[in-house]
Amino acid sequence: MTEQTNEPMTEDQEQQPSADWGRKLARTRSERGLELETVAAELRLDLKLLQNIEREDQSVLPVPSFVKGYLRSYARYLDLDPTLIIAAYDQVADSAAPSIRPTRSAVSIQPATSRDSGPRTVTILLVTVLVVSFLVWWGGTLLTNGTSKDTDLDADLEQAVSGLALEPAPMIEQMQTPADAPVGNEETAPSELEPVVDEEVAVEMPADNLVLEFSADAWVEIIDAEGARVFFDLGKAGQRYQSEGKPPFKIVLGNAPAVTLYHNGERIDHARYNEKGVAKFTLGE
Amino acid sequence: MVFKSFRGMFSNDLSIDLGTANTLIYVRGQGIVLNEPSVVAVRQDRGPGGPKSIAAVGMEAKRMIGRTPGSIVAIRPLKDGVIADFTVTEKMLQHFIHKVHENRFFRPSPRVLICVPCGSTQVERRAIKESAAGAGARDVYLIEEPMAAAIGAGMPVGEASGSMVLDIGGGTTEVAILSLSGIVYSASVRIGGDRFDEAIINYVRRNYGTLIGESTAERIKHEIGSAYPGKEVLEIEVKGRNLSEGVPRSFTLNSNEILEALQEPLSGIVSAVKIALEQTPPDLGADIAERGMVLTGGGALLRDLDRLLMEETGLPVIVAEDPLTCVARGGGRALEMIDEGGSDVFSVE
Repeated sequence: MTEQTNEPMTEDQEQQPSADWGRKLARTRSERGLELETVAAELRLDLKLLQNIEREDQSVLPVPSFVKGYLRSYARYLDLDPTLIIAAYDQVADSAAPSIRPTRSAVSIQPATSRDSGPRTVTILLVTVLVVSFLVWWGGTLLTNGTSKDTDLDADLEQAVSGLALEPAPMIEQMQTPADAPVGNEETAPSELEPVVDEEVAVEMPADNLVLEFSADAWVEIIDAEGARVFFDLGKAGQRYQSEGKPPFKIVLGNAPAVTLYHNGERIDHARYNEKGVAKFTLGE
Repeated sequence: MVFKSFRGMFSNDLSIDLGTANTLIYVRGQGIVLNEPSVVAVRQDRGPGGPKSIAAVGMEAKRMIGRTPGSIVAIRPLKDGVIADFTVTEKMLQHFIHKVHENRFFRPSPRVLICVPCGSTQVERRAIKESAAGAGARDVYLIEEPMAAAIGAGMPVGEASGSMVLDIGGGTTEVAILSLSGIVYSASVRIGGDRFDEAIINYVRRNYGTLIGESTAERIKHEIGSAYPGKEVLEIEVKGRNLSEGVPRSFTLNSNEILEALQEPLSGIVSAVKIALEQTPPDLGADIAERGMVLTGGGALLRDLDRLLMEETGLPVIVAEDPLTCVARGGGRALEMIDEGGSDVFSVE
């Protein structure tokens, strides 16, 4: 469409003499004895435009899509096969003028928006954060015995997350909570009451200490001041359980005579609450 | 939302030409991957009011038109370029979107660009948008059909010069004058390929006392239909039900008869073009007179339609390359343009 497009076209034609389109039309027209004016009037096309087509002068022709249309009409008018003419034109047109990249300049008013890249980036970021926090949490659970490592891990998590912290803040908090929660759980987990293996577990806890000894199977419910179930299970004969919680405790002993209860090391006599084998009372008020 | 965009990473961007007659889907980097009739066959079990299910979509469903038993209805969910049956359109889109995403592990969630007639109302556009969203699209963009057609036909729509495009679809004909990536004038008349078929059916009934079906009428149009008296007269043999005898009879039609039959819808299109030219600002009109108008859409394949318009308007008329797929291809190009940063050719409301 510009001056320079003329050059490659002529080169092309020298290489491929068969690929002529305008000249072929001109030849056929003169063979039929038709005047160019007649064709122009019949096809409602400008005379100059047809002359340019017959001269194959691409520098003054409009965009290829229009030229192809003119060629199709012209070829049909001369009873030629339009596809051959257009194929010949395509060989030249494609190399000379790349098919329209039309609206770039006019259309590109908005900057590249986040409409396209936005969701993908966010997704990739979210997935990375998820994976990292999962790995950190998983590593954390494996290393709970090595207590000194805990703080390092937390720092690692902080670092890992802040490294990725292009996200809005609430998103990160959401991502962190599932990672933090299990770590916190590790410390409070013993309150679930396990058969005592190590006497020293959680000695430093400020809460009151409860010890249960069972001479026979008994159902025991102990609920502390915060409503947490300190013990809620069937105690097995001969076992000894230890637990902590905040006083006062609401206690139900299913088979009361079989249970010996120590509160901060002091034995509690619950015989007076005993009604038909079941003792219900509040401790530590 | 997060999962939608996650799934979107495994989906292709689609440009859909949701036409009355055919639906075309263009996938970025792959070209036209689907070209099927916009027809859905719905099966209704256990009589009226019973549960409905989709029996077939697309090509298969089109073969059923006019040949269905009582329990199956072949529906064309779009009428005049807009949605006539919301649920069925949604199901059809869903089917097509899945079809172009075969062999995928994830449920597709593509970005979708849909072409709408420029005469469609806000309500109709909204319906199309919701329907695509319901079919699983992540983002839905709408583009006006003439704009997509012009881009697909390779017209220089971004330049400060007038381009005129006439897109004759199945349900509507859109005529528009474009300049600087915008629509200067546009009009939509509800005449299209379907009206041609109807006109042929009516003509045959009136003149031969014979009833023919839609698919026969379409075949006649494709084989011998023309818009301008040609050099040679073509003939076709068709079969239809004779109204007086009540039995199928075969008879011969020629192209001049079909030309006569098509006069009414064709004059509707010609007058729409003339009105558009009247309304065009003179400078843009001069550009159009110099380069001519471009025909796209299935209707452009009607023999000698360009000739008719040339005679009627005195302007050069050219038929776009591969006119059937122009709109879908133009939509695909427009999707690329979104990524390149420009999107003011869209009406995304």
